[in-house]
Amino acid sequence: MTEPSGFQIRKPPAELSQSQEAIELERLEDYPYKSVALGSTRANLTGLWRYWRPYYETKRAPCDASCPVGNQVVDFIQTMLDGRWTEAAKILRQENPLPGITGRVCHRPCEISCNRRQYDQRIAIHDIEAVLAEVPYEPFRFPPAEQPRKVAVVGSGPAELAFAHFMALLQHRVTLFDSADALGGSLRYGRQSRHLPDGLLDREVELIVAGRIEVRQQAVQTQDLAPEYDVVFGTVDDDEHLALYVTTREAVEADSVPDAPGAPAQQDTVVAVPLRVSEAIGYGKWSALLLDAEWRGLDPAEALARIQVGGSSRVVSALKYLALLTEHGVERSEEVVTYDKLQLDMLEPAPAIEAAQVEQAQAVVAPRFASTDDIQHVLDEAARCFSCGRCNNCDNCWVYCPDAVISREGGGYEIDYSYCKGCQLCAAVCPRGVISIIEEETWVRDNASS
Amino acid sequence: MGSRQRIIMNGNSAAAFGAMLSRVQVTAAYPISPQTGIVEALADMVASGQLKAKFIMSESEHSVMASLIAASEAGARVFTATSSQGLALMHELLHWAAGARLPVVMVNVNRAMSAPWTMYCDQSDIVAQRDTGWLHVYCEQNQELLDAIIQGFKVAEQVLLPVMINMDGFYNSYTTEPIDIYDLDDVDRYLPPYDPPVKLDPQEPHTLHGGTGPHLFTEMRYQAWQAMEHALEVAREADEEFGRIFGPRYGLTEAYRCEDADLVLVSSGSLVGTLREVIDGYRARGERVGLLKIRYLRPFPVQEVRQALAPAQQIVVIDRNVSVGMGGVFWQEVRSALFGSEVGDKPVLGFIAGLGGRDVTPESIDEIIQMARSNPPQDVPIWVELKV
Repeated sequence: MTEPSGFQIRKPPAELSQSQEAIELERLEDYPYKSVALGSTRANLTGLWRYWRPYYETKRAPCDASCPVGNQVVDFIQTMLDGRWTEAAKILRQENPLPGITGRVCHRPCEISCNRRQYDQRIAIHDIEAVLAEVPYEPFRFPPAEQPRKVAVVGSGPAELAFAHFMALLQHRVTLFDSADALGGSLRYGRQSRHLPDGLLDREVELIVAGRIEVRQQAVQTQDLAPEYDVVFGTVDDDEHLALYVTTREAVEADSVPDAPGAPAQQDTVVAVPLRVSEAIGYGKWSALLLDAEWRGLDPAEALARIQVGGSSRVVSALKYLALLTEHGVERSEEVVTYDKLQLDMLEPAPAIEAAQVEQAQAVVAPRFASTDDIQHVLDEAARCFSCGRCNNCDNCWVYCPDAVISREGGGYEIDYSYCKGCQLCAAVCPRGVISIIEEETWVRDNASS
Repeated sequence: MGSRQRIIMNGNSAAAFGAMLSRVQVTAAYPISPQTGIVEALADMVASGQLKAKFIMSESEHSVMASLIAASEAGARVFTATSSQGLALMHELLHWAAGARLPVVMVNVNRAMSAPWTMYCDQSDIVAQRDTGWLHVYCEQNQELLDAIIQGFKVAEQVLLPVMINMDGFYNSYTTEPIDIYDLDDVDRYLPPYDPPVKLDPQEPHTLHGGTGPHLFTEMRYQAWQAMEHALEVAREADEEFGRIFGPRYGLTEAYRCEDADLVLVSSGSLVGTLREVIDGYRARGERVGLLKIRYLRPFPVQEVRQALAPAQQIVVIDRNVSVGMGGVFWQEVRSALFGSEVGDKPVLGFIAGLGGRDVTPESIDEIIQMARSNPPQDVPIWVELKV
């Protein structure tokens, strides 16, 4: 045996410290004086230990899922809170052609299903919507159909306006027939009108029709229009329900022309919905998007499955339809983040908007909406939104990850799977159910081809 | 020798002044009798700005040592003090500090380990930490304690091992003596700032003390062994240099009137002060009795002990501690040091005295010497003044 080297304080050599290779120490004099890892621990891919794989997955909030119009409520609230007002207004407008109206006369299923209602008090979503409806936005368009169709819309209630609006957005040639002095149908002449501030309906209608829709002030019969148009859309209501009918040229040519004036007979499609503004808008939109899908040669059932919101086949998203047409996928699960999926320990109570402030918000129309100071209470209310299923960069995952493998990237977060051990703590501390967990084995199998 | 202030103070204050003169940068402490005075004095010094250090209020001694380990890894000079149960609570981290090669300096104001519950002096707390890899220094009086702290950093930062300094609870901690407080500039000359070879550095990140396989561990321990062996020489030099600058020299051991002694008493701590008086009395009567004071229990100065005990016909080790089932720890150490050596073949008697704060008086020592001269059994410890 050779004599060991004497007492020395040996610093770890820098060249070894940078090494990614396993280091063999043959002699005592190769050892550093203290147990400093010579190589970087990055060589040790601890992510290989992972059984569960966490991943970020935007989901559906109950408010979105219950909205008959297909509004992306959490998206526009959170975007507004980010200070991106124009973007938020666009998110609102692209799903809902009449946000100023629904902000005031909706039956508010979103607020009833709001998770926060079980926690303290629901978010006053409609007051936020009414304010956001006054914000200028960038219009958006769908890619044009190869062959624009001639579309006739009979009447100008919420369903007809929505249908006409989306058909125009889809770049079809739309003619709207109404014998009344002004457009708006039940919104102008029905019981809802008293909830609407002066001038609001005029401006909303103007936004829909100006420069896009030909308006004819005349009474018409569906059967008279059918031969000339690819489709005729209209509604008939009784005291409880609204019946929407869609009559196509094909149906007319097949000798199924409605015989009773004004009655929805012999048409392709009739859907009866509750007599509510939002339901009417939702079905006008639904009819327009699905009819367009059919014209584009898409399978209607498949198209519906791709664009429906929160698992309901009666609510569709224009944004998702745009994604379907442009092949730019919307990365969003339609799984609804219900109250039991929230991490309540990570959330805090906050006082809700007061009744007087609600009135103030409802009274807001563009000319009087001078600055955000006027609507600070609405911003405060928006800040109460739990953002169920949608990451709002709360940093919990980033802070709590015991392996520091989560980084802030591109306005969101990224997980470094080389080192994520799959402890799932990130998912456990996510207040809003954004982080999903999948068995690594399943993920590898499902993603083997791609 | 440099200028100094002489102040009357107790051992606890002397310990705090030792830390202050050493320009400690981080101190964490948890109060426990009889050490509390050190924590209070340090807190005062930090609050008044006399000591520019971070004082970490801690919830336990375990946390104290954990935070000091981290601070030391970051390159700070760190100090703490504890006692008995608190020292025991630190136990696992004492090993860590030594294995991590961190020059922590700690004063232990000794106190018997409970049960039964007690506040009083004996070394059972500190001898139980003998094998944690720290240097162990036992002080006789309070100036020596202050000096040992300054020297402790000097030694610790050269060999990169932690140092534990023992002062006897009550006998030292609460006894006031005139203490020389040296000029800071002089201490700075003696003790340069701590500059660790490796420290936590965000610019050059390393994993410290990670999982180490059997193929690596032995050599890491062996290096600690080498450092401890080397510490004997470093400690002697540090003591020598200290003497040149400040006056006092203590040695790792002190042989007092041993040259021609046929009986040598061996002990440590404040008990040594009593022994000096007693031995002077015996010498005055012409009896050849000597004293070996052991300051360093780790590293154990084997050669010095053998040399000092070479002339003796009979050796008496008085322990203020007991390893139940074997005997006093210093007795075991002395016997081990002598065994098999050229001076090994002589009786080494072990006496247990002063446990749990019982006074060991000059009369007690007389009784021990008389008992030793009656050639009692050597293989079991003898319990002094036991009520039988």
